[in-house]
Amino acid sequence: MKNGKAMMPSKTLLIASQGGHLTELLKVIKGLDTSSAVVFSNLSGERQNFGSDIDYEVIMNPHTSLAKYIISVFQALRMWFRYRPNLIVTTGAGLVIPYLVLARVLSVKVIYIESIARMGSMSRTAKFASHIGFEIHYPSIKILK
Amino acid sequence: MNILVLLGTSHLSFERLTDVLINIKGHEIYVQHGHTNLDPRLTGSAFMTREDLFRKINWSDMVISQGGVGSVMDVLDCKKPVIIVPRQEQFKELVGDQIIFSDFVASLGLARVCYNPENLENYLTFFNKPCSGITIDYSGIVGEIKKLI
Repeated sequence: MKNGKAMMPSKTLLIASQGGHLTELLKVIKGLDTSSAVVFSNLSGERQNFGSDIDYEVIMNPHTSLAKYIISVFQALRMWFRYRPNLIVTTGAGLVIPYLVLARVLSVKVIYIESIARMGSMSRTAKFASHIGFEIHYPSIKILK
Repeated sequence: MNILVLLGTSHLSFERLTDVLINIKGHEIYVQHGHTNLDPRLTGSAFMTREDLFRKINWSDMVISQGGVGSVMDVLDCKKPVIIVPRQEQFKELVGDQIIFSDFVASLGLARVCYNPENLENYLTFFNKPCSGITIDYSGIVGEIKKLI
């Protein structure tokens, strides 16, 4: 423990697409010490305040393009060997798929958090994560009186 | 009335909404337009830092949101009235759409949902009340992460 917060493992990847996915991820990690974690996202013009103790890498969003998916696989391999993660925490979406595959192959733990927006049906990325054997985690909603 | 419009970060355009904003008179409108082209008659910026986002939410009397979870939660946290104009897959505005979450928030009385932007001006007239909010609870998931550490 450090400053009353749980220590993250030495190499934790926090992966989320920009926008709501990233907003939700930042809410999740609020209670954790992220000094040894790295945020992977695809911000394009939008900058978020991660805090001073957290590293950040821009990765490709392969959305809608097969060519980009192929490039993103090579980028994921490069990032994987740079950081050698032992835990992945993600709120999706599609940009996390290469990392899920690598985690499956290399037996690395994954916390996949489905967006609260997906109340009626699972997202395609969550279906993929579930299909390759990862548990899907759901937040709950509290109504403020 | 100061109105903040949030179109999020989707790579898909949402001109069905911006087209009607041009014709809304008598209000000061600021648009965070993301990847949607902004008509020169409108004022806004493509993206914002979170600090600027909260500054603009607090400046506003009402927020019009595309229905993304992040922005809706942020607006409710600031106790501002929110009208959701959800992006819809049938108009190629999103892969999937924002309707289920929008309807859920509306069912709690925390927002109104305007499915057809052409009716948006009526919603501005009849909906201007402060609301309570909801919060998403991640404590169970944080507990799971701690177990893995």
